Amino acid sequence: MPSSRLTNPLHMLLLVLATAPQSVASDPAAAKDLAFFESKIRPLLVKHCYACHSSQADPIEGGLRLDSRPGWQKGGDSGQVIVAGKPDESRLMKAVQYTDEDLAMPPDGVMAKPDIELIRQWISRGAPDPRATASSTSKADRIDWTQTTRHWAFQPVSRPREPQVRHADWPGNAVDRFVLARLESRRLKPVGPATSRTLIRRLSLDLTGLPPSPREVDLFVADTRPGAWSRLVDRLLASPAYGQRWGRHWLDVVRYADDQLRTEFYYRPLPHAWRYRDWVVTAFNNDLPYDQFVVHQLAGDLLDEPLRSDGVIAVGLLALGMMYQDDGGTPDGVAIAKSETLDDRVDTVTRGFLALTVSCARCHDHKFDPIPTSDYYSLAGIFNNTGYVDELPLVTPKVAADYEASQAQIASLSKQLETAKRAGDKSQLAKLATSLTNAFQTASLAFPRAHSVRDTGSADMRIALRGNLRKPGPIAPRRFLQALAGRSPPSFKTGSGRLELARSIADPRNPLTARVLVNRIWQHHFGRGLVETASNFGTRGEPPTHPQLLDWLAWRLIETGWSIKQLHRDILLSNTYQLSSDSTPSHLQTDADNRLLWRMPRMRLDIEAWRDSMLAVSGTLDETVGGPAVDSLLVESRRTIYVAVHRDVQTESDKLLRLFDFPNPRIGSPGRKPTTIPQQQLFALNSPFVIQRARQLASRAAAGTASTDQRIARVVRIVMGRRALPREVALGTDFLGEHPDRNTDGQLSPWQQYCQVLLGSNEFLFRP
Amino acid sequence: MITPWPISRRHLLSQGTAGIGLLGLADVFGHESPGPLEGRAPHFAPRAKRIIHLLMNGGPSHIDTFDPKPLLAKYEGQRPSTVDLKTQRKTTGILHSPFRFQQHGDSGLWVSELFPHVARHADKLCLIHSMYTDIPEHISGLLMMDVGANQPTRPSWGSWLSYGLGTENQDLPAFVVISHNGDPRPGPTGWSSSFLPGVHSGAFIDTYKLDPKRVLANIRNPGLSRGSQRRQFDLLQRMNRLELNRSGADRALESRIESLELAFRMQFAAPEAFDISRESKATHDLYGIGPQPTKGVAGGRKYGGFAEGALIARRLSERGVRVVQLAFAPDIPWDDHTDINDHRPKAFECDRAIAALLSDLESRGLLDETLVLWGGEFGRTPTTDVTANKPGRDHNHFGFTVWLAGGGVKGGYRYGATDEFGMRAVENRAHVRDLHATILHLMGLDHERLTFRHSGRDFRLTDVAGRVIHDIIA
Repeated sequence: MPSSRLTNPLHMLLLVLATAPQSVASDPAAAKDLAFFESKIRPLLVKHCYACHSSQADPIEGGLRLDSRPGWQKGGDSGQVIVAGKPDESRLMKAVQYTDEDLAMPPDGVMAKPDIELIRQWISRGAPDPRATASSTSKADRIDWTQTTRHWAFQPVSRPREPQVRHADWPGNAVDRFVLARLESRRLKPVGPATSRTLIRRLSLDLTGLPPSPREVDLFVADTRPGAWSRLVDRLLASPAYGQRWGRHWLDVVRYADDQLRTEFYYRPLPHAWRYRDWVVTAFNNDLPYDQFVVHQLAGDLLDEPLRSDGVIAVGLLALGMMYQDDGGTPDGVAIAKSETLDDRVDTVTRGFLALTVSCARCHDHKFDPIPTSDYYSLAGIFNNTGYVDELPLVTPKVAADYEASQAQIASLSKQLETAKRAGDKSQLAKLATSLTNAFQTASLAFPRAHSVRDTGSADMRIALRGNLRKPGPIAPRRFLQALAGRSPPSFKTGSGRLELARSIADPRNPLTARVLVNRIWQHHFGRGLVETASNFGTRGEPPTHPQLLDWLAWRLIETGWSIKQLHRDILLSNTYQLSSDSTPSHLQTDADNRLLWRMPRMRLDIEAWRDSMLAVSGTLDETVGGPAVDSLLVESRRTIYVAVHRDVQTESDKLLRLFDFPNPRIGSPGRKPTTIPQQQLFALNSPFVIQRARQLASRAAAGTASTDQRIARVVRIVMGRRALPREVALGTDFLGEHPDRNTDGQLSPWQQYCQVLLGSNEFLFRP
Repeated sequence: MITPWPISRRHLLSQGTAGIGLLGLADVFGHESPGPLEGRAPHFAPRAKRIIHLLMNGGPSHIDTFDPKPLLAKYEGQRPSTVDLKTQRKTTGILHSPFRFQQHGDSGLWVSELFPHVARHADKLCLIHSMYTDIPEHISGLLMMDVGANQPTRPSWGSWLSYGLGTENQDLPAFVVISHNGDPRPGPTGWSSSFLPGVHSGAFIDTYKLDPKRVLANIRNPGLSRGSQRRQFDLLQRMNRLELNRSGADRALESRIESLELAFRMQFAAPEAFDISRESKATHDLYGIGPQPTKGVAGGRKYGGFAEGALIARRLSERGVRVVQLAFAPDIPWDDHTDINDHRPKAFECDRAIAALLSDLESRGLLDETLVLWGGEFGRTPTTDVTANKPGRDHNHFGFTVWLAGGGVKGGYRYGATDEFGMRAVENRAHVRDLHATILHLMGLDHERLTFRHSGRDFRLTDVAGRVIHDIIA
């Protein structure tokens, strides 16, 4: 708001005369114009416009500044706003007259009629304006391109030299040397190694999401030959359960779900989504090189056979994304729905593969990273040329046609049969019944389908000003991000440009792709990535705690042909991974958060591993691999990855997943943050699911035991994979009393209660 | 060794049962690590400690309830340019309000005949007549009201308050959402904690056939008596402490031990809090609670059971639950496109209970520190929705009314205004985000400082907007 002094016309005039250029002061007509500006127009602009359209505004709305002549002469994102002398051609007039709803300004209410008339007069006079201070910042200048050479994540990956360490006998491999060097720099030593019982439990839960069986524990503990650990790592990496575990980690990143979000006028299940889920599981089990993993998921439908036949499933990453819908009521709603859908693809792909928050550049240039809005629409344009194939037949057209034909025949015969039945035409009835039986016998089998995508065009998109698709700005050519590909990289030429985008991401020279993947793998072994913000490597993300280790692993990944299993080996064979999870006061004093990795942190199991473990130790896990989603994790005994995930919380099963920090599948997740809340504990204490597992465990563990001591020893061995401690046995026998199996009034027997205690205990719930 | 329960961490420390581990941890951190719901200091002195949101989902008409427009009768059937704005559906000429308005209380606030009981509290109400929102569609409107955005990927304001302030009662969830016989739109998205920790998400309770003993999932053990469970629970916690002893200090292990304690207590606290049979007959009468919850249908939309919900809301709030959202009924009951007279049975269903809630809070000395918010996701058009034979009103996002009462707001006060027909907020316009900023302010939080870092940036409830409406603060 102007001060009272400045709004007084007389003072204003004096001020103008004192500051205006000599030529103006000596020209009476010009002086009059300026006095008019200062007394009438400037106060209006200050009052109604400056809040959003001046250098003080943040952001400067619409890129338009009305606090200087060069400001409005330059115009805003949508172009010129004032045509001097021509009020009717000036968008400013349209705005203040409130004739166009999209352009109505000021936003808090229409100005008084006389004031609108003053603005018309001012423009008619040629919009005299003495405010010569030029805009100091243009939008393009806001991007700090030097970050592409300064920020660590944009630097090429090179092989760092392995550091020298003082305790040279401790490191088992390169990973250890990088870790120990950091520890030694803070005068810390790693804690001791974990016991072999702990190690096999840790490794099994990590790689397969299941605890080792007592027999597996015994074999490993007894194996004193060299290379026992390495053999165990290889055996577990080769287990089909490995893909079920690590595939699920990836599904978090790509916001996998078995349906679309329910709205008031739209609900779409995704009945074939599981094919993508199974594709991911298989890709991990087959150790599909990561660069191909990237390309298949972004452009598998564009590859040549034989890759294409699986590729059309792999692009489920795109096809299963959020589809925002509008009922078509308002054009704004339709535009918002489309822009949200595009944003889902841009966001999932860029945070998922590159750990860049490109989505932040949707309405304005990225505030912190070198990502201009045009780059956002360069990528959005690719997905704008990508169409959705709702139920793509995964067979040849002939097979599909045969199936459709046989189905049609069956339908037709059934109808005729109905008619004949009603007409009481017995001879016809018999004939039709025979034909129908034949039709059933010869009918082609139902064929598999997938939710897939295809290219639909190759048009560049226009920048949507302020993120509004109804306000198109300049063209944004489809191409890769300038922060990674250099300024003004070549445009993508083929179809939508998806395949070129995929290859740009999978390019070994891309500084982010390998680092991001390495970090995600590390995160799931240590509970936290070397970069804590696993989906944001931008300038506002956390810097790496061990930058050289990150680079060494990224280099190794590329060097080994993008083998994820080899990456696991590099990490798992380190002594760092094999550290105990115990703490000491002095370590806590120096590094309470264990950022330097002096121990292996204990990790609470996610819901998948905890539930699957309960099923496993109670002897009821159904190990069937793959196939359509099953309904409820409370009822079924399949592994949790095979339970349907809904984008809305619809079922008790969904509620349980969310209760245990399962990510909201409407948006890609960088990794779960475990919470600890009472409702989770109520599940452990009271849920029929846990109680049922306790009953099953109780009968399994009691079989063939003679004494209470033996039972306790047996169940502790099954559940915890170790020998029962004397104190534990004492507590247990005290609890079980004389009659461990007595149950009155349908209550759990003490023995069943004891088994439930083990399933709900911290030791069982945490990966050691 | 006999260990009493509940076992607090303080108790553990004093007993030394956890050995060097816990003591070491206390030494290192110098304090007890706070649980996620532990009460936290606000940014400045709050005017309200708790909030009850009476969500009038579906969009009640402001011009038939709290914002009278006498000119509507004069211009009946006409379509002056002021009202010629595009809303969701096609509308024609102006439709007068079939409801009579009167001034009430010392303040002389206008309230229509739809809310005779609420009208008696006119001097407590702070009407905001100049509300507006972005999109005239229910899900977008309700999302804006619930989570402050049109995208379904943001945390609800109840979650933000839980995150910012924690709770006053560790035995109950910090944020409870109540509805009767179904979800209000847009369902769980409306009380989701989104990227905030899951502990802050609203606990949804459907009061239809509510058995207080089963109010939360798994609240009771189906196979154990209370005494047996106590014994089992003690064993569990001893085993957990044995494990902690072996491992040395570990924050994760400890916080689960604490969480188990809370859960154990919640088993008894939650059923008690939801049990309205513990209230006197006089209180039941005050709220208009009969032997069975009411139910009805008007304009094809069901409603009922609101009075019971209002009393539960009071019980929860009284016990320190930070945020209670009480939906009028499932889905979008106030959406009277086809006959504005359908507002009558719905208002009848909630009027008395809302008035009772205000009286009840006041007589218990709770109203000063409890903020009550009444309102829908938008208002309704002064023009006629022509989708049915009877005259109804379309969604109106250009202008509508909400009201606040209690905790720190001026009573008998009107803020802002719509134009002469009630089509559009024109004076002191207040976006829903301004309302959110004001609610946070009243609860002692600066909406620009209450942030959470997610996917590379600091998020706020009010995104990059929101302004505190200081004029309405007492």
